[in-house]
Amino acid sequence: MKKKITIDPVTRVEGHGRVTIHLDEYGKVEDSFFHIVEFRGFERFIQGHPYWEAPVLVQRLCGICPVSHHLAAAKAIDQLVGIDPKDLSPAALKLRRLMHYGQIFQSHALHFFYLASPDLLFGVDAPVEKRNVFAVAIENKELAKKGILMRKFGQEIIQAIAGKKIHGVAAIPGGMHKTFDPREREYFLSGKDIPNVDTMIEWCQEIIEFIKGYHEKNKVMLDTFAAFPSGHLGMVDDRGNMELYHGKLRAIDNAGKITLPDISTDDYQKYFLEGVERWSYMKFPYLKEIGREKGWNRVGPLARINICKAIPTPLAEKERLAFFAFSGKKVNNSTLYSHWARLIEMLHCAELIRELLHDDEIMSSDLVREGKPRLEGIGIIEAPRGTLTHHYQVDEKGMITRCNLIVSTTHNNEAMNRAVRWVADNVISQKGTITDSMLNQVEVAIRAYDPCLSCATQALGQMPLRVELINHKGEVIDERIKNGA
Amino acid sequence: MATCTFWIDGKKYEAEEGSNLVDAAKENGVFIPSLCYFKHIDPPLGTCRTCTCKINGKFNPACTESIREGLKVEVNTPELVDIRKALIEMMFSEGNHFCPACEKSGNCDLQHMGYELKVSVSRFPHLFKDRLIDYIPKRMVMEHNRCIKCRRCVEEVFTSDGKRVFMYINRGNDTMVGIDYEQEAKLSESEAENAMKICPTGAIIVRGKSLSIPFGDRVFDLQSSQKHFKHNVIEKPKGANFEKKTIATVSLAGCFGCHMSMLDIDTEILDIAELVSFNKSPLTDIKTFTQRCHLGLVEGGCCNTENIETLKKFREMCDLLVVVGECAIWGGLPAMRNTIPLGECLEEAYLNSVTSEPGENTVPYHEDLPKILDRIYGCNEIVKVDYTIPGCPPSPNHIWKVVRSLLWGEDYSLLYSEFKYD
Amino acid sequence: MSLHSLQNNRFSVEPARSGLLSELWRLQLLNKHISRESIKSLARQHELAEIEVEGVTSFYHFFHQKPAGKHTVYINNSIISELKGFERIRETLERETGAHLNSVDPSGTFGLFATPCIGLSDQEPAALIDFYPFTNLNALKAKEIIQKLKQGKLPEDLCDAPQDNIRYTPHNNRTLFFAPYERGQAIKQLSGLGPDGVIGQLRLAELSGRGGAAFPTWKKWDTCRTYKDSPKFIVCNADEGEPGTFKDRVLLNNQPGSVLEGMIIAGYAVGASYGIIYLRGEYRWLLTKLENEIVAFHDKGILGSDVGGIKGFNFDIRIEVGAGAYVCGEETALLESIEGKRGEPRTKWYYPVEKGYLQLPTVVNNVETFAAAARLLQLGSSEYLKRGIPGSPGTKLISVSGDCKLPGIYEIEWGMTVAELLDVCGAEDPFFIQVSGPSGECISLKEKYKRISMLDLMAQKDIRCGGSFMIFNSHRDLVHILMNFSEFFKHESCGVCTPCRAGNFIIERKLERLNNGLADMNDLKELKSWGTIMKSASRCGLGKTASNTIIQSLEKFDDYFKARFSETDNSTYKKFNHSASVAEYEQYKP
Repeated sequence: MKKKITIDPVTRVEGHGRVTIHLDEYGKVEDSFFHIVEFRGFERFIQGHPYWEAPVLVQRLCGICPVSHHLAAAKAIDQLVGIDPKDLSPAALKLRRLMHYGQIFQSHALHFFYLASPDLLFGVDAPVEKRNVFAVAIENKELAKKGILMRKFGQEIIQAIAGKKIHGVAAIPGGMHKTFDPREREYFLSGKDIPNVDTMIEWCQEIIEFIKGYHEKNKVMLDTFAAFPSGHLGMVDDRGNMELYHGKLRAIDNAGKITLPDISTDDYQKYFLEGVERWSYMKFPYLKEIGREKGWNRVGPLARINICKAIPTPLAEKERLAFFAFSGKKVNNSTLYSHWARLIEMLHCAELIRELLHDDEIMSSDLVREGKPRLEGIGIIEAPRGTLTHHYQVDEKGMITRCNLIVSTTHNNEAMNRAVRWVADNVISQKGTITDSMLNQVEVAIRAYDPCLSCATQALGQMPLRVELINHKGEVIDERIKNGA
Repeated sequence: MATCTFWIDGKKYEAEEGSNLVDAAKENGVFIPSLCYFKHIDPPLGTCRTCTCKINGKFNPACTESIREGLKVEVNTPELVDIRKALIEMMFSEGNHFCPACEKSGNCDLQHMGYELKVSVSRFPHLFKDRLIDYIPKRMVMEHNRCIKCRRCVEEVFTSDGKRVFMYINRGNDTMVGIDYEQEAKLSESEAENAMKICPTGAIIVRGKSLSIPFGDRVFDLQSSQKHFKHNVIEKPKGANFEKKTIATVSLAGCFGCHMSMLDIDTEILDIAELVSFNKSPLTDIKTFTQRCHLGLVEGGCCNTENIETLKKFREMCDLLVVVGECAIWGGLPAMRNTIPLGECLEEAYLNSVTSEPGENTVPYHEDLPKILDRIYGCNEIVKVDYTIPGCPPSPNHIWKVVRSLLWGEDYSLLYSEFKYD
Repeated sequence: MSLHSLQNNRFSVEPARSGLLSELWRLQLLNKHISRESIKSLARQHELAEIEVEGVTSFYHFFHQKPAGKHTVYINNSIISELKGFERIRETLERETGAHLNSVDPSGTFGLFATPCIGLSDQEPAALIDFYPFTNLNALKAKEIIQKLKQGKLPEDLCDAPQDNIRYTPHNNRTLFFAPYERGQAIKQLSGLGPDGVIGQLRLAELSGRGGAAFPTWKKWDTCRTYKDSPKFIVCNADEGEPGTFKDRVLLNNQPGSVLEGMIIAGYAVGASYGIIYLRGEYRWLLTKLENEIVAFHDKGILGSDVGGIKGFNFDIRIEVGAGAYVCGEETALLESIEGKRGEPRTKWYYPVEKGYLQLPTVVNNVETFAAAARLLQLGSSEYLKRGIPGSPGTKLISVSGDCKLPGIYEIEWGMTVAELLDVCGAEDPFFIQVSGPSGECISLKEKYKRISMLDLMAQKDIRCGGSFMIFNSHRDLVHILMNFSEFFKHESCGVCTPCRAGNFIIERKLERLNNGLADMNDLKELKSWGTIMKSASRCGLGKTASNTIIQSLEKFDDYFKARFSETDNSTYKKFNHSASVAEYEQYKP
């Protein structure tokens, strides 16, 4: 008898996804799918709108990383008014960076503390009522509180610039519309009202220590769980260092060989294509030259740490070196190392935030530059979850005529499907009974990618865990829903 | 001019004879909502009807009434309050007012009236008529989705040689404000900006003048125009009885921003965790309801068949169903596709994108994928909704004040500044 | 003075702008549309922005901005037409002309458009071709007409002469309107009475407005008389647009002299020198007849200088032809229209008697009111008062249509009961009766013993009737009737105020839900409540009355709706058409 396992919705991820695993009559996995079940149609309905409204409009793609969308769109829109990243005023650039680092900081905090930490603290066999942040709050109040305050810090940086924590507005064509004032700066530096940026750095280091301990304890499992070779894609600066706001796109293969040689973001369309599968509303991007089968890349913290030569802040760089020293590999292909990489990025962002807060330029009023209008703009940014592409074409009157969005999580589509398949093959296949723990592991694998599925679908849909047993005729003969109800 | 005595809601006031009722009321501290009214247009336009009152026993807009001795005006009877609210709701339903994506947001008179009258959801179905955005004018863009046909621009904007720049065209529900390209080109930059300024919504946009006022500094962000603004979550608070309650949350066709806003109460979430247990929610691993819940929070509207099923399940399993955010209330920003055929959206995304494979012909359709609906549906088109919390996203305070009031009967009133559509 | 003294159909006191509608008509008839170039040149000529001319052009549905065919065919889509076979005629015409409804055939020969009631409800289905009437159409007749037009025959040679269908007049020669007529008989009374006397006669006879509002005519004239501004205008509202009404058509066709005389009398009473008949575009075919009557009046000396020999009383009349806009029946909209503007009702800041046409004192009355005034003076008030009932004296013209044997004009004495009227017109299984048109009121048979009079505005005891009386039998679908009305208002709203412009649209959507079987009692409650809001908040009579029938039918036909829509409150789970909602997506099924 054949079976189909469905996990619906995948939880503690942002957005809506579903997993189905098909087993043959011997319980061997035949196939597995990670479906994205939503579709929203931004690419079409944004057409006809004036380009200067795009940064406000498109951030509604996602409530977790609205700033990333806001800034990617802003970068593209800058080009429409003739401003390339190098032409921005120093103040505008720094304010954008500050906001962007605040965004990555809060999003990583959200992911680690609110979504992933129950897995790390309680393990995959924990009962369902324990697998959430509220249980963490009860069991480990101190940790939970720090996590909350770290996210808050990032959100407040965003709020100081964009006016709101979620879906604020800051960037306008060619610059920014608000600068920092001394009072705001004092708020983040003094430590009187909230734990200040130095505390953030300390806490980041503490958490990194925690995860190191976790890795030491579980090295074998973490090395092998959902580990598979893949390409890695991200952004680097001119020296090959980690860069999150603007730089060149670089990709490497699983062994570290360059597959995308530090190209200008403006040229992305020459190198990328996206495939479509009937079973998912999320597309599958890949490098044109290598092809659909092998040209796909992971993006996000693990990819970024893999592709860069160094991290340009001292504390984070030290941690990067420790990270690679621990695994002993030049390129890390183990899915669960993403959490560690993510925390190193948090530290990096905290360091960058400290640097910017001490820079008087963020209080300058030289905010907007003008250039010669163009009809096409491309903005690519390293969002918390990876490389995010916004691309707009407009007519001479300023009306958007075409739009292309490649959202970070989309790049991880193939990787997440592989990860699910890995768990299916190694944990579920031919095991007879299927336990909650097994199904939890599917989600753990997906969760490591911190998928933002609401982004990825620019979303029209949804994600629970349901297992259906299907016979060879395709009839459902038994069903199991994750949490055992 | 002589001073005369007039009456509002049984109270006696004085004002100059012949002065406009809206102004006379305002001078006496009585707020009569108005939109199209512009002091110096004579005779008054009387188009929007937002200031409808009962004047000497008959329904009439206050703006077309001048003060005379003994005038008896009813303003704040429940019936009139409801009619005025309905009119604002009607405007929101008629146009395509996506506040979260509008550069006039925060400086918009229509939105402001919504705030003052506490409109959180329109009782009327949104019409989603496909409307033009006219890019032909030299300095302006006419965003007809946002025009409420108040006529201000028609009566106020003239060229230096006395010609109109705007005029109504067509009739009935096709009526729109046309713009004369030849005359518009004669306007100076500042005249064009003035046109944008007198427009009560974001229908008249000067090209390239994007939202340049930060949140908090916009005209209608912080202060109500009413002296005694009060916005209770529930009418009659009960004695608070803090027994532990169970709630469920879900994001349908939303962006998770509302869920993030729930988390933005920061460490207070730790207190909430003491009082509330979360059942089915993307924040927990509970994927199907394990018990009946006291309250369900729904983010996002319905874009596919699964959303509809999930929403119905929430209705079934939750005593109180609260929809959170613009998307859940009426579709929100994703409802921008409601004026566009679904096929065009799918084909643009999957077949014709810049990075589509050459000759791509696959559009996702699979037994394991929910089917996409012809348009986005607001939650109240599918099930009965007990409470709506507007905003994109609503402020965390707004959400939790509502939850606390509904669950424990706490006496909570929202601040004017906590109630927003963007 | 004769018709020919008019310059471009304007009196010398009228500004050039007042000629705009006539100019647009000339262009429409000549070129079959009003081109961008024409708009440009009109704008130049009138020193207006183009958009202003476009605003006027696009307001009236007989003005087209794209070529409307060498022959422009308008089929009436009123509810009566639908009952009598609109669909069949539409199909035939689409087939024969090769044009889809509301478009022009590829060769440009025929434009085929739907238009609301054209005032021929007693001989439906009916159509206008190049504004000539074609009545009692059937598929065969429609086919023949188109074939003949294709052969080069002219519509003016093929068209019908609509019958007056005067089915009933009060017994014992008590007819007021259709008594033998001789030009000038009423005018003869003027010098004897003087303006005061004329108004006094009206007052004694309690003559009130016959357009539907029933405002005392003497009061209107008397107020206008007090204003000193000059010149003053007398405007005859011949924009009979209320679906199901055709009494003015019959009066203008049968008794044009009475109408002109009534206007002259009003002019004499208030001190006006100019009269304008605003003739609805649908009645363009009556234009020649009216013009000839005006010429005859001039010839007889009862128009022009020293009218009827009264020294210093100069009065002339011209005709303005409307261009397809129901709302222009509202008096201030009508004045705007004559001024060459969009027919948008004004606010009630001023009344026309003070500031009307061109902001000058103006009396606007209905065709029937003027005719009645003429007959009244001719008879004298004491004779007049012998008709009708106390408090509501006189007779009333009623246009009966729908499910009855004898559709046509009924001149009843005020006070006749609904039952009597149903009886004389041969009503067949009457169930739902729409009085005074879609904006009026609906009545059920429970009310058939009510009198038709002017006494009771709220219709607690009597029924007021503006002129339209549509009968529907028990097999008719009420929701369908309501949808027809609602669509009518949606298109005919002037678009200025929110509750009417948006409200009618919203109501239509709700009715669609009813029609699609998605409604329950809660939807009906909402319909009623929304209708009430429109009524309270709309700017003019159109919006204030557009929801009347919906509100009343839900009350009066409660049983019908209860039987049709589930009584249980399904509001927890709303009805939802699942398959319709995914139909578009299903096209992508591999």
